[in-house]
Amino acid sequence: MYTLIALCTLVIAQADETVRVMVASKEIAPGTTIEVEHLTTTELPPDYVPNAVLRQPEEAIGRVVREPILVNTYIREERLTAPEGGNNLGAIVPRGMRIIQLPLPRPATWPQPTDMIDIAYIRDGALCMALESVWVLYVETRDGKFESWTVGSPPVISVLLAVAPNQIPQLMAEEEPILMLRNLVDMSTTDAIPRCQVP
Amino acid sequence: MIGWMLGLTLAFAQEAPPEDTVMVIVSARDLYQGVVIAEEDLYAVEIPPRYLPEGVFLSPDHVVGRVPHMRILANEFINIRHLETPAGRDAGGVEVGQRLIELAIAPTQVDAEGTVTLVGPAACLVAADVVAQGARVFGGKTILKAVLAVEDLSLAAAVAASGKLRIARGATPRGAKCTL
Repeated sequence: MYTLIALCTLVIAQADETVRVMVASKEIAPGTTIEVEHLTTTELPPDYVPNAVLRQPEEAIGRVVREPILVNTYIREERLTAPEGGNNLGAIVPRGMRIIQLPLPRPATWPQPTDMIDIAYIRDGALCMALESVWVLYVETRDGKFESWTVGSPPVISVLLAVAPNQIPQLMAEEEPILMLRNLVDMSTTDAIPRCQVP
Repeated sequence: MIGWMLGLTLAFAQEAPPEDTVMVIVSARDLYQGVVIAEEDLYAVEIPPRYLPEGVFLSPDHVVGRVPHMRILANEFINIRHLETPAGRDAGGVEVGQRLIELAIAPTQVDAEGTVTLVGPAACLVAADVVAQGARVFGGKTILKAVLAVEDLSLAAAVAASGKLRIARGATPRGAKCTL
């Protein structure tokens, strides 16, 4: 008799079986150190849960987010920095790249984090291209915040860029930088504009 | 008796009505920002509506050809937030082959909106079909925010730096192209 009840329960349980899995309780921006308040749990059928998700809060708390984590999505290792990478702004810098802060000539509503920009200068009365397709990692707003994902109304006063070490000298110019926003899918080089000589 | 209970149990399992499901679009592999999503980058799973996360796509037609602005990991539900920028921006209305740039213009031309023509000294043509996104005064200069074709950037920036860039209204001037 017990065997038969157990069999019945098993069949029903299989139809409705779920597992409790950890998800983000709110959108988590890059550079954020995960705390308890960033996490919640939800019930899902096991078939919908990828193997790579973190399941226990202690696996995530204290880790730094490398890429945005959307609300109600799993915490996945790929979106976190290496545990030994520290927990400051630099933790999200791609390996081999450097982070450099470039003040804007004047406060502006652009660029925004995750934008791709070109940086040029006017030299001897003509435009020259210093760097193309540079990823905006953070922006600094006039109220003193560094934003890596969403920016409210405060104007942007500087950008933090991810660049290769050999690109840094191009940003050491005395001239006022001219920022140009490009479409994310536009990875072409701008042949119409000559390259700037390293100052 | 045992046979009857076993039969009842199996009948219950077999006759339980299947739960309604909806199709959800999932990434077949890691999809990268700036790379257009193709049909082969996606697959679909059936999921009961009660497990449906907010903002996910139910049809590949709404995903194929679009561009993520953040990485989408393999086996993730494709979410509207993957495909738009945080503030709902679309690269500032900048198309491929264009750039958004700020240019100093004549001080009185602060109400620049819509498609305009940029002109230089003696009404020479700098760039036509420029999308002006407004102007503001800062540091004694009037700064125009505009979207230009890449081939017009050099001339526009140089003329702006010389302090002689203006906006022409009305019919497009037929003057000669400015020279640097």
